[in-house]
Amino acid sequence: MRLRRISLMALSALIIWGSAAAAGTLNYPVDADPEHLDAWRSTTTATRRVLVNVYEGLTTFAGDSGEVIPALAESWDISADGLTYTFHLRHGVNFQEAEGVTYADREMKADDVEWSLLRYLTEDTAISEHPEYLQALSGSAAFLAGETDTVAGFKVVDDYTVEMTLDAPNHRFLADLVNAYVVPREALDALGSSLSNKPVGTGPFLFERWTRDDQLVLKANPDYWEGAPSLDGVVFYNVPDATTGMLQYRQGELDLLLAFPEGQLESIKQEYSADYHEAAGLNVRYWGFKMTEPPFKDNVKLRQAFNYAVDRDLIWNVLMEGARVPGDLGVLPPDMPAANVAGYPYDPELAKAALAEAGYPGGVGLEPITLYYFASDSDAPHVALQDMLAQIGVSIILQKEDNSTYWTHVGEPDVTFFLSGWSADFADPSEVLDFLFAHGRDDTKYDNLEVDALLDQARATSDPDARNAIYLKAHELIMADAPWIVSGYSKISYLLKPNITDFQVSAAGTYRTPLKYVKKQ
Amino acid sequence: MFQYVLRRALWAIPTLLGVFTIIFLLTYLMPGDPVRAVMGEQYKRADPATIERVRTSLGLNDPWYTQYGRFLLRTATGDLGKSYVLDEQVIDIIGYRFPRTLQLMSAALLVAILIGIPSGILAARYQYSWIDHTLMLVALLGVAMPVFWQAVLAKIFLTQDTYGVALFPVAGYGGGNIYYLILPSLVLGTHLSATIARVMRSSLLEERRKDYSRTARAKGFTESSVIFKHELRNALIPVVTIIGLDVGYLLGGSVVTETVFNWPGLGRAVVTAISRRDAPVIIGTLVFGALLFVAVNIVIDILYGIINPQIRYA
Repeated sequence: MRLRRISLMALSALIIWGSAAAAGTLNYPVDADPEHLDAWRSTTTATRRVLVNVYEGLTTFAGDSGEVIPALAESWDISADGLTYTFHLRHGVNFQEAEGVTYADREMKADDVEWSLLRYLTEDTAISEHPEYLQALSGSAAFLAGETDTVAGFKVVDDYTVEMTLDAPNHRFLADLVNAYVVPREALDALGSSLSNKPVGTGPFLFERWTRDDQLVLKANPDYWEGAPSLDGVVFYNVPDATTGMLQYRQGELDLLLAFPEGQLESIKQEYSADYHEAAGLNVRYWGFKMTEPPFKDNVKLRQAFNYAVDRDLIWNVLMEGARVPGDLGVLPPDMPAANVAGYPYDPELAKAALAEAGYPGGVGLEPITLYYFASDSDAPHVALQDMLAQIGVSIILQKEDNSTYWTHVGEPDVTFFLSGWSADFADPSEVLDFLFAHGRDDTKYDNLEVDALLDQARATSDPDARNAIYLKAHELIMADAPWIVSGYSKISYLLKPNITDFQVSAAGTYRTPLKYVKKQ
Repeated sequence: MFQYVLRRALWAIPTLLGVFTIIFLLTYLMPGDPVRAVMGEQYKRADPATIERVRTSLGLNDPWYTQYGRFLLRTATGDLGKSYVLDEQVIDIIGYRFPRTLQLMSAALLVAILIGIPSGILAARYQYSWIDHTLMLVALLGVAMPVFWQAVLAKIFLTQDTYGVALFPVAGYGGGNIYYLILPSLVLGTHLSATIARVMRSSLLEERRKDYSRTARAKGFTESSVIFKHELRNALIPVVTIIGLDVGYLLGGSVVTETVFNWPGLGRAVVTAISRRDAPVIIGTLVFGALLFVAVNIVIDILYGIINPQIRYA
């Protein structure tokens, strides 16, 4: 018996040894497979997390600060009127070696940039889902409509210089180019549609293999222009269950952990105080009011009463164990410019007074309101909100819907009070305000003409200080209108084994930053 | 016999057509669309015109009968179509995941049969003894404990140095390494063995009360030859039925086991497809599952005759 047990252990030790990943490989969990690995159609964090390691654009976000910095373009000049951008391409950048792909010229040059970037500009969603990255170029509309074969605003000056001209100044342009990847045309010609599952770019890692719902393996690109990365490779393990992920991390099968089992955050923080890291994120979570439907339509006092009734500190710091920063300020995450506006503090007395002014003293006359939220979210914040509103006399019915149903339903008029959220890609107010508060685009249908005008004005303002002053003004107008109850701002929290260093996390999230500087001892 | 199989196979056609229609209608009636389902709260980032173009190119703006006809025609010619979300053909999705499900399923069934049938026989042979009570208590626990809970317990004691002995990896497919298969098939297999053991016991007990058993015993046969030569043949029929139903259940992939063990099987693919509103994958995999279920049931019916030659096919 004893002998058998020993031999079983010896056997398992042998197998573990045989199957253990090579040292220098980062074992990285993902909760879902990417949908595909197509440079032109990537819309989700699951695809981005892999693609940022294989592909690069002319610009990129700095891993730590999140600022726009040079990538495949070494530098750029912007004309005084803010309309013409001249990009100087980096010399000696070679496209990745990939099986079946032969290059006439492996070096990345201006015509590669032209071909890759203009491929974004199409209405054919089978090719590109992001015409908006380059829609600021002058002549892009005519090209999109098929009236011209070339884009007037895009000019190849020489092998290492590209000139782009815009119709109007647009301070977001350099950030939009971050996701516009440069792809070798030879790879598409050689691999055809399978390029969308086997990416070939200029980045620090080469795509090696992808076994669906299991592992996606990248290995270091020895020819990377900045020098080969320190890691030998990265293995993205598909780990859909957070409890399993925790056990794998504990056992050393994973080098980091990005999702935690619900209700265990506090104990994990204590047990792994050396491994636990936390940084401010760029996501904002809110409860929205439908601005076009009763009872919230034309009743700012009612919306404010709801705002004063919510104890955000209790929700996020106590109930949810510090999962988010309480939303005490405005609609922008606190680390953004123009974020510093007065929020709605927790004040039940003010809430009751505002409710009376709204025409419902003590909640009398107000029909019960249904609060919609999506199934993947915790129930606790919503139950707490229900209780807090009950204390000022407002009755709330909770209605949970599965996620896919939710996102097609939430924009409909019958959903008057709902949970939503938003993730900014980079720390600029336009990332929130342009998408959610301009021209009724948010599910609240919020549309304030004065705010619309300010946002248009800000977009065309090149000077950052002047621009952010305009954003601040728009932000204050929005807060006075109270279209949301700002709930909380995200934290990026993760466990990282102490032998992993130089793991950079930008506020936009862990998926944003290539793993090229990461070291494993 | 051949005629019987042929008739059963022909009957499968209306069954499958019905299954197909129901699955199609359920998929069609499900609220939500693939574009928004994939993007979640970030769906506002996509230009509404782009979302509309994607919907049109997927044919989602066509009336239901056009979509139904298209799916039906394609499926009838053996083309299951391409996923709305993934850059993969449905046939490849099944072709990749089904063998992995089959691997887990066969191993789990083997475990279930090896544990369930002997336990059931032992419990019936020594009815009301401590063996019977112990085995049936364990089986009751096995039926009552949800499989994810068994999985967590198994992982804590068998994969963690902190709490137990790390004999197995926590989760993963390990590129087909059989070592990764052991723990999930043990968990799933012991879970299934509980029902098999209970049915085996009660079915055998029933046979043991019958006249032919008493006659055999009166003739002086040993107890084990009474069980194995006479009673077991008859007692196995309900057990085979249960195993057949288990196979049907496992063929669709055991979603929970696959999820907690990061196993790339069919069940997870279906659940992900449902949450993404990926109609071709939902319809393709479920129709494939129904086809297998029908086939397995025909095989089970034939097995009855092999186990007990007295059974005739009319």
